Amino acid sequence: MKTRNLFQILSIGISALLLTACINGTPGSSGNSAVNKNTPAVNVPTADPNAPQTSAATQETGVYPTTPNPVVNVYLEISGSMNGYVNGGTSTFQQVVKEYLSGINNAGFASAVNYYYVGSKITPKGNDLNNYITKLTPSSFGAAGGGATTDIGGLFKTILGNMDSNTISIFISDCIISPGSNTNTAAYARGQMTDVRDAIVSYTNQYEDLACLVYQFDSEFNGRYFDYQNHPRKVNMQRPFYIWVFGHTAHVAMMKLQYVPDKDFKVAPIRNQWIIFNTPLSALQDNNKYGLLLPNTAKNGQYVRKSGTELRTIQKAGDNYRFSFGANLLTAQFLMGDDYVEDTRNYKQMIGKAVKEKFYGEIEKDFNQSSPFSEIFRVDSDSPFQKGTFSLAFIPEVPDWAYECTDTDDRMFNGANDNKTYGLNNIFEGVFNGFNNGGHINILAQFDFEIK
Amino acid sequence: MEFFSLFYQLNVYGQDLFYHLKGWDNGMQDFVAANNQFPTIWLVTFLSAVAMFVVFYYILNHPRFNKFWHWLIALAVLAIGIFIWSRGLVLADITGASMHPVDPSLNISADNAMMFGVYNAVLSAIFFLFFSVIGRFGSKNCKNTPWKSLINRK
Amino acid sequence: MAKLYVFGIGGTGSRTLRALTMMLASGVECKFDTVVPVIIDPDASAADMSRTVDAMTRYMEVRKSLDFNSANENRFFKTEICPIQDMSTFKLTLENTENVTFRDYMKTNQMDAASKALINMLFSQANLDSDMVVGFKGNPNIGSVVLNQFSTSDAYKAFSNNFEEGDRIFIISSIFGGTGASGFPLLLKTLRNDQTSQHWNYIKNAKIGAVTVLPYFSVEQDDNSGVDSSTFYSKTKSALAYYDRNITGNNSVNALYYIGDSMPASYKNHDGGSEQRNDAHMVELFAALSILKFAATPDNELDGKTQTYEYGIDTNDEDIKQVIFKDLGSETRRLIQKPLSMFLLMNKYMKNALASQYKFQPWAKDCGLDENFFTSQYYSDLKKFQDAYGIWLDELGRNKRSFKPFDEKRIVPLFDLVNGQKAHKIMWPLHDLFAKNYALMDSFLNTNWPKWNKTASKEQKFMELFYRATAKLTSKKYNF
Repeated sequence: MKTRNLFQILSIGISALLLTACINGTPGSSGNSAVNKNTPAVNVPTADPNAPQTSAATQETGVYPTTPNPVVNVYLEISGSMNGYVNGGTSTFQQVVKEYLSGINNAGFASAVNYYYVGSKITPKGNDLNNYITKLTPSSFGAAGGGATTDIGGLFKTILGNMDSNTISIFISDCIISPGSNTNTAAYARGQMTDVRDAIVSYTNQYEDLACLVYQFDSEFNGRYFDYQNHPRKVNMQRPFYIWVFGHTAHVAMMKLQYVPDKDFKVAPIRNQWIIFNTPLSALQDNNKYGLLLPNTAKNGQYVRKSGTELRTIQKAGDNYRFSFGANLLTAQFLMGDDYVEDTRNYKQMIGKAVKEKFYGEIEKDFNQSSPFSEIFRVDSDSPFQKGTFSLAFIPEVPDWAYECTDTDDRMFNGANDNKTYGLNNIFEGVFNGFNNGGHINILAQFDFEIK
Repeated sequence: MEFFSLFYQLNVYGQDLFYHLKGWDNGMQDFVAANNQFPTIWLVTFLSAVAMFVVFYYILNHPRFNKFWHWLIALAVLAIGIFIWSRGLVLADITGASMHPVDPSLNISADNAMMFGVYNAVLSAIFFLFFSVIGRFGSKNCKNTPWKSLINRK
Repeated sequence: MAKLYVFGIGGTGSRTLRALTMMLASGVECKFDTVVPVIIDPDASAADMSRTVDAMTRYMEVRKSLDFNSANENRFFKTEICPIQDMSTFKLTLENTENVTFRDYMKTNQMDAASKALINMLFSQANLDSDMVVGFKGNPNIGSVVLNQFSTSDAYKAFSNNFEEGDRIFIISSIFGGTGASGFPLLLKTLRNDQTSQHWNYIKNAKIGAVTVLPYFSVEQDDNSGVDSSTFYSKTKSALAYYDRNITGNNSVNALYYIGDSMPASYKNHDGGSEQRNDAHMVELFAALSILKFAATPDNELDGKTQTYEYGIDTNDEDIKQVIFKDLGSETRRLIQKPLSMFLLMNKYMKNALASQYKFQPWAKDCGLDENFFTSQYYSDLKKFQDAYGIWLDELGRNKRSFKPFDEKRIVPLFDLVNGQKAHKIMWPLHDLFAKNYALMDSFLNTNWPKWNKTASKEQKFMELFYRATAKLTSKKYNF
């Protein structure tokens, strides 16, 4: 099963989404839908001459994209803090961005690609890649009107506020939040988080489906670095930058897996990445099978398997009580990476619609070629399992690296924080909270079992 | 379908063999009804016991073949026949000579096959005993086999 | 209930009564519910008589435990056999015949010369010197004198006292012997003419039948014996002439049955006593049939002139050596074929299979027929009776002419039992196809009989089982 062509796996699910003519129905299989797909149609935003172009194929009543050819809008942050990344074309930053954007052009899927500079306002820069990125020098930013500091939260709001479900927005930035003269840095940081969150929520309220993909790269930075108090200093070192991609899950997935896959980044390696979205996996893949394994090995546990989802008489196996099941998270594996999918932090035990507690157990890859599962879950407990329903939900969390790469004091780079970004966690948490807002839990897959 | 596997729940002959006979498909990681051999096995066992019962009590119904040990002979013939057939069925699965070869992920050996033969033989004996007790009173020569019937029309 | 009094005179009478007893035991139909045999034989120790008395006594013992109400189908031992009420024995004793010579009996020494001369003329010296303990040795002239005391005997008194209107009388005698030849006319005269006994008027008007057995055996020549069978035919002729005038001629008997055989069997010459034990002969059996025939004849057919009957068998072979059922007339066959076969099957089962099977078969277990039952007095009596039946059949078969309807010595195959009759194979139900011989009998005994009387005694149940099973068996196997 796993040897099947990746395109085949995804294209069935995703194309179904893209090409669905039934605009009022729910796409894909009924699964453990995290998002209510039965909301009525919403209004289409009216055209604004200065606003970024949106796809002409927007349907009047649908919130789902009906076109496989979205519009791609690229936003490059041009605040002063970005100066050090550009040197007329040879910096890693410029090369990576150029590589990515030309990859998008080469894939030829976009109906239009528009470049913008964004700072306090949005400035269209046409369609020429060279002009847009390659020829940039530090002085270009000043001419472009980039201010010293950046309101990242504000930028999120701007960008997400100017797109619809037939648009892909790409945001390139250093993602450094700048309290500036604000003495209450903590409050400012929370404010940024809130802005990011609000940007997400505002978009999803209108268009429902959203995916946020972020790549982290390192590039030479030679220029003025503004710390969190907005004091500049000369810095010449490797510094991280981020490329965010926003759009409908189907579009973003196609981009990540097919149009501009990871392996196409040849200039510099992707240091870290994260994707979060709110379409349940069951809508993206056709095989959503999960089921209990046979308790015929010591590793699987000691229980009686009544059916794929029903088990009883769980006995002690070794030190603790355990049962095992398999599930197909292949699409998540490809989109999010094995490590992320096999990180138990991303799973929670549910009770009803609420999170009960974290997941105790292990997750490993299922190497059995003939089985329909991609992952094997081993659920552990020190005390006997309670009878009733056991639910495990896959709820993508802010990845560890986001915290590891967060700098809390960037007034000096002392080696330990050389590759960190000040206040990065706030942005990521803002994104996460945007997907898990107002009591809503962003469950991408759920596995329910009856323990009798 | 669950009904048939109920008779085979006791873990005497190996849990893996139980899973196999219930139709465990490793590719599907689930029981597949098409591979469930329990209905066939149960039916053959049950009907053989019924057949032996009918033969002993109503077709043969012989006044010289109505003592307790004659009944035991009938029971033994039935049980041995079922033993051979059941064990053979599992062995064929193990060697892959049948329509339901055993998946390598399941641990089933010739010992399991033998124990299953024994299990099924005992089950057939129980069926035979059951029918012997409830159905014999219409048999004029064997109504007191294997022991005196409470139903007495004389 | 009307009774049939059967007087068996002499050896023939005893042997005929023996045959009658065997037939009634096997369930041959008798239209009278009660038969009262009376044996008249001065030979107190005659073996034939004692065998007959044994059989009848045992018959009574067995019948005591049986019930013949409508809930039971059994007809074995159905007809009641009992002695005259108030009499303890079937034998009618003759007085003053023990250890006396005929001369002394007649008290010739008290006679005057004229009478003495008359006596000497009528009776030979040998006659006068003969002692009568063993009867009249083929001399009816002696018998006629002695038997005259009959009407004053206690037995006759008892007979008369218990005789009721509607009862009938039957007399068995041989025409060639001593006792029978003389006794029959005397008895008849007494019955019709006596007016001293209590119910003489019933007796006088009762229907009386008689069978007269013509010569059917001879004895070997023995000069020391008082019996000379060469005189049998001459005596027969003179007796028949007498009968013609005084019995049938005056209609004193309502029905007279004749039977004899042209090939007389030859017996050992014994005067009498315990050695006068003659093998059973089919003539006696047929003579007994006349009793049943008489019993079945309705009153209105016995009015007026004496009805006379002669018995014959249905074969073209005049010299037939061995008679089987097929050689008998259809009326006889209808009457005796099935019951005798049934009784014999029961006999064979009891002899060859019962001991090993009663512990296992449902028929025995369900009726509670256990070891106690099979060691009881009842079973012992029944077994002894069956043994006597077997001996009787054996004698019939040994005799010349032999009546051998059964190959009764055969153990297996059981159903080749009836000579000249091929047994059908029972094909249905299937299990009866597989069962053979005694196993097949068990299978029939094990049948769930409809209308089974659950409250009957064990003795009744046993008899009932065998009756029903053998009835069904003979029907299926032989179409009887």
